[in-house]
Amino acid sequence: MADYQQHLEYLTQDVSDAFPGNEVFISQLATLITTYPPTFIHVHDPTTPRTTASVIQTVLSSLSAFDTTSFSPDTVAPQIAFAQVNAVACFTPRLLYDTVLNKLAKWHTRWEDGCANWSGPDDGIRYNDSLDAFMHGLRALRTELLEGGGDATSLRGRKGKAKAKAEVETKEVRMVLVVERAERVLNLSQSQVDITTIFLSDVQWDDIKPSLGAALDPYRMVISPPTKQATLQILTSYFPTASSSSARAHAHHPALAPLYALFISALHSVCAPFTSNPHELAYIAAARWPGFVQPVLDAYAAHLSEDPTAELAPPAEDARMRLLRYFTPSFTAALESLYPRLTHARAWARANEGRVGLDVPANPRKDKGKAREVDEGAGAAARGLPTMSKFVLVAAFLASTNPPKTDIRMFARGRDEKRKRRKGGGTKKTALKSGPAKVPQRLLGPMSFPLDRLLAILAVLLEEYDYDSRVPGPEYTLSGEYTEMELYRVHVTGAITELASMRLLHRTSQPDKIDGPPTFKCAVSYEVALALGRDLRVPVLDLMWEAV
Amino acid sequence: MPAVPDLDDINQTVIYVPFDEEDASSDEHENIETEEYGLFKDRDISGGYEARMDAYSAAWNKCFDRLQSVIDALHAPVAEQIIREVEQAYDDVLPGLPYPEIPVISIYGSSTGPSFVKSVALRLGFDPEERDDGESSRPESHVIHLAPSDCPNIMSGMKALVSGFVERPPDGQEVKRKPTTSLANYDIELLKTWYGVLRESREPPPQLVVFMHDFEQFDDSVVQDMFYICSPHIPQLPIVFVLSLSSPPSPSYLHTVYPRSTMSLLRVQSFTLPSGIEVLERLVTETFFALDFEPDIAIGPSALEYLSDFFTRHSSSLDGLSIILQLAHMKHFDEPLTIFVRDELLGTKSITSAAEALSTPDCFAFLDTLLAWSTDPHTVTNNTGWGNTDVSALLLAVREARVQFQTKLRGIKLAFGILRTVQRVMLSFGYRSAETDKSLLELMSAAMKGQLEREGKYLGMMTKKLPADKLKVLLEELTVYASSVPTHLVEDLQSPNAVFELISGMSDDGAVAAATQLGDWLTKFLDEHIVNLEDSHLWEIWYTGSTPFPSELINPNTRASVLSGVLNPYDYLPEPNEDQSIADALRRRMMWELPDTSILLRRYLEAGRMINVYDWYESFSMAVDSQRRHMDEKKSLELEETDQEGREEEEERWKMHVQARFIRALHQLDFLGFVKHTGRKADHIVRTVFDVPE
Amino acid sequence: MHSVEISSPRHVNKPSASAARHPPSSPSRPAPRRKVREGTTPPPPAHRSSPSPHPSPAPHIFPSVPPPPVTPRKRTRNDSTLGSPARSTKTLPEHLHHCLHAQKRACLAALRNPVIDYVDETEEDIHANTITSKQLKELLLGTVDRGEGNSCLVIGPRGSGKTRALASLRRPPIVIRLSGHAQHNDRLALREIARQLAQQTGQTFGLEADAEDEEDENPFAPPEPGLPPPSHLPTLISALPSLARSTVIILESFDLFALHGRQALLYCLLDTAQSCRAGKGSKGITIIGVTTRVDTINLLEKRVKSRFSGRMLRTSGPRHFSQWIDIARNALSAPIPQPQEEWTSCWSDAVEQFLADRVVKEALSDTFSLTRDVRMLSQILSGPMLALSPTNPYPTHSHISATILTQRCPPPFPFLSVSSYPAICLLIAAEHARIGGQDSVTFEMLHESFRHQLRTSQSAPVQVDGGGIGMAFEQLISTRVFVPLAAASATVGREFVRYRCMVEREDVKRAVEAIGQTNLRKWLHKAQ
Repeated sequence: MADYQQHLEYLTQDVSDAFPGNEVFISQLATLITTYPPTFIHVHDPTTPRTTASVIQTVLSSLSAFDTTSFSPDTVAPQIAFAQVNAVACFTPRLLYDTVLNKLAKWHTRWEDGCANWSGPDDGIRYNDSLDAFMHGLRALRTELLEGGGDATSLRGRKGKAKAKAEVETKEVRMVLVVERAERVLNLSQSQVDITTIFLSDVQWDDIKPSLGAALDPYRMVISPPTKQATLQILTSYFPTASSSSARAHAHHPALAPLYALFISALHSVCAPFTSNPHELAYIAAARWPGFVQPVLDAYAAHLSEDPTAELAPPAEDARMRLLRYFTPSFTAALESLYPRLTHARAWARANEGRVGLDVPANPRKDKGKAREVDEGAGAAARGLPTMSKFVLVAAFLASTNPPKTDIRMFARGRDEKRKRRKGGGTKKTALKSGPAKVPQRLLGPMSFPLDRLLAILAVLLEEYDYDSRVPGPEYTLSGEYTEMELYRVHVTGAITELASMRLLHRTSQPDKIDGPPTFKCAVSYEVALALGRDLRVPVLDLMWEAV
Repeated sequence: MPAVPDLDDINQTVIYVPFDEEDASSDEHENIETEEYGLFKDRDISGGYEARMDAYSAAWNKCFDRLQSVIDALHAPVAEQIIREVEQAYDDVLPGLPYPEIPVISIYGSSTGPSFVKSVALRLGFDPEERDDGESSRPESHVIHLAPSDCPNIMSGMKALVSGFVERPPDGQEVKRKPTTSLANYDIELLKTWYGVLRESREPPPQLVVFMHDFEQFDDSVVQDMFYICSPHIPQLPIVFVLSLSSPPSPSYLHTVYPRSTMSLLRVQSFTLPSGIEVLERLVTETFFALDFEPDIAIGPSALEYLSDFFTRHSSSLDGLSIILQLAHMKHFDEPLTIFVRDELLGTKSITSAAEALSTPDCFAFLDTLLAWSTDPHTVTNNTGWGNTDVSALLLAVREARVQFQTKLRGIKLAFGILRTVQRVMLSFGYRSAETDKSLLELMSAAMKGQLEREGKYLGMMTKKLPADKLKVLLEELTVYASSVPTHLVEDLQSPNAVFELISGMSDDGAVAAATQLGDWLTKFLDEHIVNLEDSHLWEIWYTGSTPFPSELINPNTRASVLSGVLNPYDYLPEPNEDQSIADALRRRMMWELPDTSILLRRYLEAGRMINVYDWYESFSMAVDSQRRHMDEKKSLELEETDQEGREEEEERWKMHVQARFIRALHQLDFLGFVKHTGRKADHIVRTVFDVPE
Repeated sequence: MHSVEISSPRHVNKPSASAARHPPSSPSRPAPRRKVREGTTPPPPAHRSSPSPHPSPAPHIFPSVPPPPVTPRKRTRNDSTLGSPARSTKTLPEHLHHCLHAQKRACLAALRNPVIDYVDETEEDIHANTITSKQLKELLLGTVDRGEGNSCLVIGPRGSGKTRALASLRRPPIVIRLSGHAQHNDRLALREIARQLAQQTGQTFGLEADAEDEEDENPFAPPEPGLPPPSHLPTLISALPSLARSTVIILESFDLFALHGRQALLYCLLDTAQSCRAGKGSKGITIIGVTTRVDTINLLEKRVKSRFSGRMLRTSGPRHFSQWIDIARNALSAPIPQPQEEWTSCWSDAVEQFLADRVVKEALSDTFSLTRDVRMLSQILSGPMLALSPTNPYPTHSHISATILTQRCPPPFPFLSVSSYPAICLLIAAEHARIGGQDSVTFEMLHESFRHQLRTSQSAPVQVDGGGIGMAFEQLISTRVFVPLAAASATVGREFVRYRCMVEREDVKRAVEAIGQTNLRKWLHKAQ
C-alpha cells in the first residue's frame, strides 16, 4: 500500500530532473491531471514546443503507468488514459479519430489481423467517420475502461468484469487528449464526454480560436523560455555516455564530463545571443565536441603508448583554457553553417575534426565570411548552367527588377544612351523622394513579366555582350538578324522552360493557358544575378534602373 | 512513351509525336513522292541506301557503346558514394544529437544523366526473388519511387508513401484489411505495423528508401508535412529519402525553398553529378582520341565545334551530346561512298564479285566519283565504261586508302597524346607560356586539320631549354605515356621508344645534348604526324571533315521556319505538276498565286501594329478577286451567256465564298500565333510579328 | 482564539473542542469566524522565520484512522515551534499534507463545475435562471405526463448557465442532444438522432446499416455517402412522438442549425412538436433550443417560425458582485473527505482572508465587470489552487493576480523580452520600416536595413550571417509576430512574402531594454 500523493511527488521530482526548467509546469500539470482538470487546457509555448511535448508525454505516460489498484482504496487515484497526437500528422479527421482511440485504448494494431482499429465491445461499428461517431467511440471506450479496469483489451474474462463492475463506483477514469501543433486542427473540445483536451501550440489561443464560439475558453498555461541555467543543464544531459569501443565513443568518456560542462558554457555564451533553443545548441555542441576533445584524446593516446595502464583524465586547468582559446572562434563558424543547416552536424564534425579545428582563424572577420560564401555559391551556380540559361537568368532578373516603362531607356542600342541612361535612373530616383520612401524593387521581390519582354531583353544582352562569341553565318546580312535567329531557336525556349522546372524561374501563368504569352518571374537572388553577370561580363548594375 | 504525348507537361522541352500511318495516308500527303530518301540519288547504287544504313547503325552502335561506358565510368564513383551513404545511413550517427534526423540524400544536376538515378535505385533495389539468399552483406532495402504527380496534397502523398511499401506484404501472404474499421492506408501507423513484421522476419532489418524524382516539382508545403510526419518515427522506421534535383547545387533549392523548421529535421547529404565542359572533353577524348578505341568514322572539326558550342551554350545534357554525335553519323552516311566504311566487298565474298556487282551501268556515276576522289584530281579520267579489272583495282585502292587513313589517324592521336603530355608537364613546371589559347576541343580540331605546327615547334623549343632534372621528369612522363600505347600501334608508327632510351644513358653533362635531341625529335614527330586528314585519299569515307553540321535539325528556329513556310509555301511544297523546272519552282510568286493563308499573312505584314479586320478582309478579297480573274483567263470560258440576275447571285455566292475563305485563313493564322486578340478595340487584332527579314 | 490556544502548549484538549464547535466551513454563516479572527493575535516574527525542525514521521500517514487523543499534544508541541498553522504561510506540518491535497482536489473539482445556487434575497429580484429552470420543469412535465408537444428556446450569454439549467432537469425518458458545432448538416444530425435513439430505445432505425459499406478513405467529403438521404428526415422525425416514451430533443447552439439548408431539420422537428396534440396515443415531444444569440428567432424562416411556440426562456450570469463572491467562496471552501477539524478551520480562515483581501477583491470585481462568465471565474481561481503546496498552503493575492495575467488578458508576446539578438534586430528594422511609411515589409527589406545599420555603425557585436537572421525571422513568423498579408503562393520566394509586424513600438522598446545593448537602443531611437 503506497501513498498516492507520495508517488506523485516522486514522479514529479523525477520528471523535473529529466527536464530541468519546467518544474512548475510539471507539478501543476500532474496535479491537474490527477485531480479535476478543466475540460480544455491550452499550453502556449513559443520557444520550445518540442521539449514541452515530450514533457507532457512523460508526465502522462508515467501517470498512466500507475497501477491504481495498488493504492489504499480510499485515496482516489484516477486511472489515466491518454493519447498524444500531432495535428500535423493527423491531417484528416479520420486519422485523428483512429489515432486517438487506439492510443486511449492502448490498442496495438497487428498486421496479421489486418491492422484493425480498436473497436469497442461490439465489432463492426466504425467510430472514425464523423465527429459524432468519434464521440460515441469515446463514450464506449470510457465505459470499457471503467469496466475493464485499465487494459482496453480486457483479457480478464467474466470474473474480472464482475470485479470491475463492483468497483465502478469508486473508480475514476480520466481521459486526456493532447494535441501538438494545435494551430492546425479545428477543435473538438466541446463535447458531452468527460475528456480533457490539452492543446499544445506555439501560438496564442486567441490566434487559433475558432469562430462562432465553437470552443470553450481554455485554461491557459504559458511555458516561459528556458533560463540559462536550465539550458546548460539540458545541454549537459545530452552528453552521451557511450561506452562502445568505437573511436568516437572515447570522446564521450565519462571522465571528460567536466570538460564538457566547461565546453558547453563557453559554447552557450557564444551562441546564445543567436538561438536560445536548447536543441539547436545541443546540435552545434554535438558537431563541435569531437574536434574539441581530439587534442585531449591524442595526448591520451600518446600517454597510453608509454603507459598502457593510463586512465583517461580531464586535462589540467591551463590546458582547458588553451583549448577554449583555440576553439572559441570556431564556435561562431559552427553556428553559421549549422544553424541554417548549410551542412549537417556529422559532415561538419568530420570536416573540422581534430587538428583542422586548430587552424581556424584567430578572429574570423565578420563580413568576409558572408562575401566568400556568396561568391563561391554564385560561382557554383554560374558553373552549373549553360551560357544561354545564364543569359536568360540575367535577362529575367532585369525584367523582374526594372519597371517595364524604362526598358527603352535602359536597353536602347548605341553607346551614347549609356550616359543618358544612368542619368535617367538618377533623376528618376531623386524625383521620387516625396511621400513614403520608395523601396527598391529588388527588396520588394520580382515582378512578373511576359515571355516577349524577356526575349526582347535577352536579345539586347545577346547582341551587346555575346555577339563576339558567335560567328554569324554568311547568310545573315542585317545587323541583329543573327541574334534574332538565335533568339527564337527551340533550345532557347527549352532553356526557359527548363529553368522554370528548376524553379530558377517562376512560371506565374497557368501552363494550360494558350492565348497570350506565358508570364514568368525571376527566382534567383540579387547576389546570384550579379555573379552571373560577372561571369558573362554583363554589367548588371549598369542595366538596373535603380542604382544600388 | 505514351501513345498520346502529354503536351501540357512543362518538364518536356521537346515532345515527339510518333509517326502514324493513317495520318500519313490521308489525302494531303498523297502527292509527296514516297521513295527512299537520298541526297545524292544521282550517283548512288541500287540498294546502296540500305547497305549504308546498316553500316551506319553498326558504326553508331560501336561509338555509342563506347560513349556509354565512358559515361558510366564517369558516374561510377558518385554512385558508389551514394549507395554507401544509403547503406550506412543509420549506422554512423553523431552521438549527442538532440533528436534523430531523417537521412536525406540529394542528387544535384541529375538532368545531365537522367538514367543515373534509376540505375542507383536499381542497385539499391530489393527484388523479392533474391530475397531469400541470406548472404546479402548490406541491409537489403525496400525502394519506392514518388513522382510529383503522386503528391498533389498531403493525403495522397502519404498514401503513396505508405502504400508504396505496404502493398508488398512483409511475410508473403496477403492480409485483407477492412477499409473502414482498420488503419487508413495513408496512416504512417500502418507502415509501422507493416515494418514491425518485417523487422522480425529479416536480419539485418531492411531500410526503406524513398526516391523522389523531379524534386523541384513537388509542392513544398506537402513535402514539409511529409517530413514532419516521418521524423518522430525515425529510428523505428529507417526511412532514407533520395531526392533527385535537376537544379544546380547552388543556390541550393532545398535551402531557398524549405524553412529551417523543416531543414532541422533532415540530415541532408548532397551529391553532384559531374557536369560542364570537363565532362565533354573527357567524353570526346576517350571516344575519338583514345588509342585503344577506333571508331568506324572520325568526327571532324566542324561537328566537334558545334558540339562544344551547343554543349556550353544550350544544354549540357549527355543525351543531347550523344544525339548530336548520332546525327553527325547519320549525315555522314548520306555519302554513297560511305558504303565502303568497313570493307569494300559490298556484302559479297570477294573483291571480284563486288567488282562484278559494281560493273552494271547504273553504277557508273558512283564509280566516277569513286575514281575522281581516289585519284589525284590532275590525272585525267576516261569515261569509256568500266572493265572488271579496273573496278577491282579501284576497290583495292579503297582498301589501300583505308589503311593509310587509319594509320594517319593513329599517328595524329599518338602525336596529340604526346603533345598533351608535354604540355601538361610544362605547365606542372609552372611554364605558363606552354598553355595555348585554344580549348581542348579546338586543339583536337586543329590537330585533325594538321594545324599544330606552331604549338609543336614551341614545345620543342621549350624542351630544348629544359634543365636536366626537369628533362628527366619529362622523359619519365613520356615513357609512361609510350608504354600505354597499344602494341599494334607501335609497329606501324615508328615508335618513339628509340628516343626515350636516352633517359638511361643520360648524364648531367649530356643533359643539354639530350634536351636538344628530344626537342628536335619532338618537333619532328609532331610535325610529321599531325597532318590534315583531308589530304588523304577518299577521306570522305571515314571522316566527316569540315562538312557543316546540320544544326537546324538539332536546334531549329521554329518561328522563322513557320514564317517563311507560310510566306513562300512553294519553297517547301513540291509542285503538283512535275513538268516545270526547279527555277520555276523557286521563282517569286505573284500574290494571287499564293494560298489564302499566305495572302493574308502578306497583307498582315504590310499593316500597322493593329489591324482592322475589315480592311484586312477588303485587301484579301481584292487579292482573291485577282486570283479569280487569272483563273478565268486560264480556263477561257465565256461569262457572257449567263444573264444579269444570274451574275448577281453568282456575285453573292462569290462574296460568301470569299468571306468563308477569309475566316478560315484568319483562323489558321490565329492557330499559328500571329494574331493577338485585343479586348479593348472592337474588330481589331494586334500583330505579334514585326519587321520580318524578307 | 483557538489559534492562540494552539500556540500555547498548556491546555491541550480545548482546541479540538473549540474546533468541534465550528462545523466545517459553511459560507452561509460567516459570523463566528469573524469573531475568531478578531481574537487572533499575530505570532512574533521570530517564530515565523524559524525553520521547521519537524522530523518527518512515517513515509506516509493513514488518514482513514482518526488521530489518537495523544496526537494533538505531540503535534501542538511540535507546532508551537513554528507559530500557528492558521496564520503561517510558510510551511504546513507533515500530517496536514494530505488534507491540503484533498482540499486541492475538492476545490478543483468544485471549480470544474461550480455549484451556483442564486439565493434570491427578495421577491422582486428573482434571478433569471431560477425562473427559467422552473418554466423548463413545467414544460417537460407537460410533455412527459400529458404528452404535449412543446418547443422553447433558452437564450443567454456564454457561461450564464444555459446548459446547467438543462442539466438540472430530472431525466426525461428519451433525451437526444445535438450540437450545432458537431452536426454541420441535417444528414449528420439525422444520423446522430438515429444513433441516440438506438442507444436509448434499443431498436435500430436502419440508418447505421448503410454507414458500414463505404470504401472511400475520406468519408468527410460531402455528400456523406453513408448518411441517410434527407428524404428520411420526415419519416424519422414524425416517428418520434409515436415512440414508447416521450422525447426531449436538445439543440445546443441552436442558431447554427438555422444555417442548415432550408432549415429542414428544424422545420420537421417543430412541425412534429406542433402537430403533436395531447392524448391520441402520442407520447409527446419537446424541442429545446439553446443559443447565445438573442436574435435567433429572426434567423428562422417564416414557415419554421410559425411552427415555433415562441417560448423563450432567458438565463444570465450572476447579477451582483456578492453572488460572484459567493460562487467563489462555495468553490474554494468545498468540503473534503475525512476532514480534520484543525485543517478545516485553518483553511476556512485562509479562504475568508483570501476573499477579504483588498487585492483579491479588486481583481474579482474587475473580472466581474469584464465578464460574468462563471467559467472565467473558476479559471482565475484554479490558479491559486494549483499553486498550493506544503511550503505555502494557503491562497494569496499574488497568486491570483499572476493567474489573472495569464488567464484573463494574456500579454500578446510574452517571449519578446528573451528573443534572440537577430529577432530584436528584425523588430527594430520593422519599426524603422513602419516609421518610413511601409506597414508591410518583406524579409529582404528588413535584412537590407539591418545590413545598412551594420555598415553605418560598426557596432553590431557579432555578425548575423549564415542565414541566422533568416532563421530568427522564421521563428517570429511561426509565433505570429509577423503575419503574412497574403496566402502563401508557390511563385513568391520566401524572402519576398509581405508581412505585417504585430508588435507595438512600446513592446519593441521594452524588448530592446531587456536585451540591454546600447547600439540596438541607438538604432531604435533613430526611428522617430
